[in-house]
Amino acid sequence: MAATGVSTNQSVALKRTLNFGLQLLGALLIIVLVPIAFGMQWRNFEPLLDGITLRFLLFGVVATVVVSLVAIILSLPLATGLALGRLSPIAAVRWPSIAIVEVVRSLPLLLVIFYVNLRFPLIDKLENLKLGNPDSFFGIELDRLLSRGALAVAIALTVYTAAVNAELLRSGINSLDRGQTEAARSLGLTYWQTMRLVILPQAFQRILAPLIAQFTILVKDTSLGSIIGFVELQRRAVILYQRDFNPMEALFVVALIYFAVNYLLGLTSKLVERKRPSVHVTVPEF
Amino acid sequence: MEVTDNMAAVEPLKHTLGEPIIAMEHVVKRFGKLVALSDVSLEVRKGEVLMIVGPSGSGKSTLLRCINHLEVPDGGKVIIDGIDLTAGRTNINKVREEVGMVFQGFELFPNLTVIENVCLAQRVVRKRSKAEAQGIAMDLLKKVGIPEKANNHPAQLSGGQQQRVAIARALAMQPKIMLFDEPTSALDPEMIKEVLDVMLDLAREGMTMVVVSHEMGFARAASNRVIFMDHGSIVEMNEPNELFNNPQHERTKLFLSKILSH
Repeated sequence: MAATGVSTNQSVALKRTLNFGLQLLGALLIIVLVPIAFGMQWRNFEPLLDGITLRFLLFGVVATVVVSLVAIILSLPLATGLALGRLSPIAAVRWPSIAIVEVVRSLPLLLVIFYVNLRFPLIDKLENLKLGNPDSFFGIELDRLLSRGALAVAIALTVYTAAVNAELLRSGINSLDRGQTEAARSLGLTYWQTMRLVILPQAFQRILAPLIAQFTILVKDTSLGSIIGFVELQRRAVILYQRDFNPMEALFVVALIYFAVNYLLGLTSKLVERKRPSVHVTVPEF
Repeated sequence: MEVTDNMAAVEPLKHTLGEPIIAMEHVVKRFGKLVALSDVSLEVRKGEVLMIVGPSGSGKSTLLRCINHLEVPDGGKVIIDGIDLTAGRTNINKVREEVGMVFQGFELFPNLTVIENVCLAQRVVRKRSKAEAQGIAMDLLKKVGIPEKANNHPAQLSGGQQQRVAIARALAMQPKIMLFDEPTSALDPEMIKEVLDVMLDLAREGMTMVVVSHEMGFARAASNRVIFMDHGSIVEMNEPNELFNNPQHERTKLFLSKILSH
């Protein structure tokens, strides 16, 4: 028994190493083969490598990541509220929740972004905040981060993602045994204590993978902000290739950056899952 | 009469019963058109162990669940320890703190360890300090015989162990009444006894218990009265030996002949 145990552990470790190696190889192949296949040229990459341009791109990453994080963090409580609202026995709470979720989910995100950008109570007040020193590089970047476009994208993505995740969370809650709620309530816990301490932790654990998937969609969708003047990563690629006439190369670099950001985001889901292993099922390693 | 007897060697208990602590008066519960409870009246006294038997769908679980308001009766009164649950503005959570419940499916919280399961309600409902809650939890885990599993997750325990943790979790609130909804039905035969032993200890200590179960051995060893239910009504109520050996109603005879004939 012990011998087979050790050998399985070794083979699991071997498989993991092999798996990682294959992924790395795949990534390298893409980085080398795609530029060749699309006829990109090295001299067109060169203008992207200069210091000021790299800094410009780096702050594009910062803008994209900050707006994404804000939307992710704000969407979580909103999604929870909408999911619980939709499950509420009180009609005056349930129907507005259903209405918000269904309407927002069925609209194109771009339309929501346009709409928020045109008129949203807070946006007009925050528009010309101009906190940053316009003469310094950081001042300019700060104002770009606090621009109307950035705010509109953050708000639209918050609402949109909350509506989508509300349904995800609702299915997670519904997948739990009703006995869990009954057990908690029979111990004297209130509705809110039951949700906070017993139901929601389990529901979030169950939907973790699709939840993170929705967040990677959110990160990608920040690029829609480029249309309304939010100078994020995608917009910066466009600005750069209009300067250097190298759209293939500029977009390829930005594509790699998006991939890297979302790959890291995907890793966090694996980390959280490994930290809190599912106690119901042990998934065999293949 | 042949009995599936997990408690054969145990002497029947003689309780001194106290004041009535559960009173149900003309309780009615419907699920749509189905009448789950029709005009059920019942009194349970302090320290009494009441067993409820009956075919599936007879309303025995519904009756039990009306006691801690997991089911809201459509009519009649449920009075627990002097508090009328059916009188509108009652704080149901206050009553639930005094009524422990054990479920067929254990319903331990899988995201928490065993000791966290036992501590949770103590901390948030009883507002005990962490040290105090853990002390009480460990005492109870010792009492149910599995202190070594304190830091395991429920999924790492056998069914019998999980059910004993569930009992410890309910007891940690120091309830006045314990409700058991088919506590051994989901267990393998060899685990039933370990759960019944814990329940028997509780009965000996004078805990008021209402038990939905077909464990006839436990009924004989620990219960003061047995109720036979059918179609949402109490058909017959008697001391366990009387009811099992000398049933008065045809439906009771038929039911007992089915469950005791193996």
